[in-house]
Amino acid sequence: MRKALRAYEVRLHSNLPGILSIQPLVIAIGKEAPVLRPITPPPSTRAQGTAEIPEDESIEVALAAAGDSRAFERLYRRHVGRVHSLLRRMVGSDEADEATQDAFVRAWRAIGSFRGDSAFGTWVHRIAVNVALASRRGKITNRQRFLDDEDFLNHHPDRPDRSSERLDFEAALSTLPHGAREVLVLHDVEGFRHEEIAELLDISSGTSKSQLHRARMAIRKVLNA
Amino acid sequence: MTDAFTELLSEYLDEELSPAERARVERHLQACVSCRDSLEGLRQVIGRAKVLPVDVPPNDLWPGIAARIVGPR
Ligand SMILES: [Zn+2]
Repeated sequence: MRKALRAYEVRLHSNLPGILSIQPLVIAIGKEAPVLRPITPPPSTRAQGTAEIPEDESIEVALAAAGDSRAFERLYRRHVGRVHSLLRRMVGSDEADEATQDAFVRAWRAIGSFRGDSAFGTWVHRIAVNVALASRRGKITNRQRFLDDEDFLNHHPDRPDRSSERLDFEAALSTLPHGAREVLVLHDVEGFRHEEIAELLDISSGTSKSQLHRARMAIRKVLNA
Repeated sequence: MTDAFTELLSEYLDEELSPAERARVERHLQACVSCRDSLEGLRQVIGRAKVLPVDVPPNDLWPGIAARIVGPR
């Protein structure tokens, strides 16, 4: 029973089927991105239904690849919500607009290498994840991003982000140290597995797990406060 | 209040513990109110993270993109 329920939850939750096996993306993001290697095939549950199975966008993609910016605008309009929501959670409201634009500009430049073996939405979403991670890289070291136990407890949270009306969960999220926030968003919101997160963030799976736990506990505390 | 078992609760919920660890956690949960409380809190956090809405950005970001994609790639 629990297993079945779990599988159901995973399906509901996962709309990034097979994201790590998308080879064209490696080309898409070039040198600015971490080297992405397929790690393990995702569980089949992840490839299954989502409420928003994209309609066939191959025509728009082909037109955009041929230089039709209006076709690309249609793709943008269809996918900007998910991209922006992800980036707002990963990098914060202040930087989310610019990061979203960066992600779509990168997608435009790379769309010729997109082969359609995944949904366009999945592909552009992955680009957005890399934009989010790149925006942190260089600014701040992993040592600072991933606070150990003691530092985590002493971390003075940023002021909750009050720019949105939704002050609850997203505000709590914005108070987390960056590394913990990234892990929580990738795992609990986006449905990535620890092995994938470890690869993306250049940390161990164990660190990913412990950061996730701390992040959840901290959010719970903020929400209960 | 946390104890050594509190640290295992996320992995417990994510079904990442071995059967033996899982059984130990379950035995502990029967005895520890604090861990049951944490478990419920963690469950709520996970549940809310999964249903966060997708919002279209308030500002139209397309003009800024369009300005950067004109001309040859
Ligand atoms: Zn306990």
